[in-house]
Amino acid sequence: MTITIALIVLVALSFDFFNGFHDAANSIATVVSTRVLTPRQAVAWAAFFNFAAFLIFGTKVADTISNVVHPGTLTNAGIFAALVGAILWDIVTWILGLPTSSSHALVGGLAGAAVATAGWETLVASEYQKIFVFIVLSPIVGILLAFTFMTGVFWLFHRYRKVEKLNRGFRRGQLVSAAAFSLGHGGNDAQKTMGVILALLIANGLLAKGSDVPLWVVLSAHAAIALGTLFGGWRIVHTMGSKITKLQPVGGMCAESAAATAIWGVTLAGIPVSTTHTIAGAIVGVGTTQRLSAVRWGVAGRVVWAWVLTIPGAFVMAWIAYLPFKGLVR
Amino acid sequence: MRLSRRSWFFLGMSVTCLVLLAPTPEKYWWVNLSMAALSLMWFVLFAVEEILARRGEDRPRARRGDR
Repeated sequence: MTITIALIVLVALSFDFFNGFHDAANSIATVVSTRVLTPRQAVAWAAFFNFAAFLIFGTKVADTISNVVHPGTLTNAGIFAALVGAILWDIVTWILGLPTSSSHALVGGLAGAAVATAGWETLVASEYQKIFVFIVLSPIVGILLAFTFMTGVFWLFHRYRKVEKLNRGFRRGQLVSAAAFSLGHGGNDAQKTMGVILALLIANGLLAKGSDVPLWVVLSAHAAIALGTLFGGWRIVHTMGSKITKLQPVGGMCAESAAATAIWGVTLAGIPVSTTHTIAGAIVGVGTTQRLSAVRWGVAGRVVWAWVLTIPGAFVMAWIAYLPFKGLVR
Repeated sequence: MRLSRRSWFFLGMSVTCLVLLAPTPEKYWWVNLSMAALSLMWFVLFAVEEILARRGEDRPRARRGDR
């Protein structure tokens, strides 16, 4: 039993690692595309703040994730299948260069495995309702905040003539905004893995229902996501950093600040959101300050399709991954 | 009233936030409401700007016609 639990924890941490690997692009795309940092410097910067996030955020998101399925219904095999489904979906979309959300993949995977284990009634409707609403709301918040920040910056500095000096200031500002975004990314995404491990420990009677997340879980989840970021995936950098809209340092700073504000807010409220879609929304928001045609809607549309398909895709993969375990004893 | 696509985009987002009020748990309604208000503010500002700009363009033409 202990070996099984240790193996599943390892798979959960691998998912977290892959989450960092997959989403590294979100944290660093704008810094790299505006040439504020080299790719190598940017991943190190993001990874450090991914790890440091454990000092700031609590574990409310982890509690939400551990409660999306009625406690006790997910077996070890179910949790394993959920993780496998989410990882497979992440790998497929990474190969295709699609900026999908690892968070949505995990939520879809958990649902697929839970339904395969004990039917639809195992899903906690209120938790899924909250997650679904914020799947739609988080990019909208990103768009609106980024647009507002960008317009505010234009309004404040439009009479300022020393463009070179101004750009230097925005480049420095981008370092701060990228750090804030990476903190939010680490805070929200690492907690999803913590939630899975928490559910696993509760399911096996190693922790009582309603227990806090143990410190070793918190630290290992943050370390895994930071390591994943360090080895970051480059395919998505291109889509996020230059394909949606062309970014200047000021735009990068506003997009990251807006996404960071949104993610910090939802993380403190305990809502798991997609950091990918929040920053994609923020980049669109920056693009719309020029004109709507400055946004390449075809690329943005591809992001939306990936967004719509992630939960059903991961659901199906987790459901299939659970099939070999059906009928086996926990 | 002919407005730019950008104005309608913000009105659309405001409406979306309000439509999402129904499934949103009451505890988080402030997010929907503040975003709907922000979006509506941008819609109104763009609409006013466009209407005023159009009037400004129309006025000199009328004067030329008077002569």
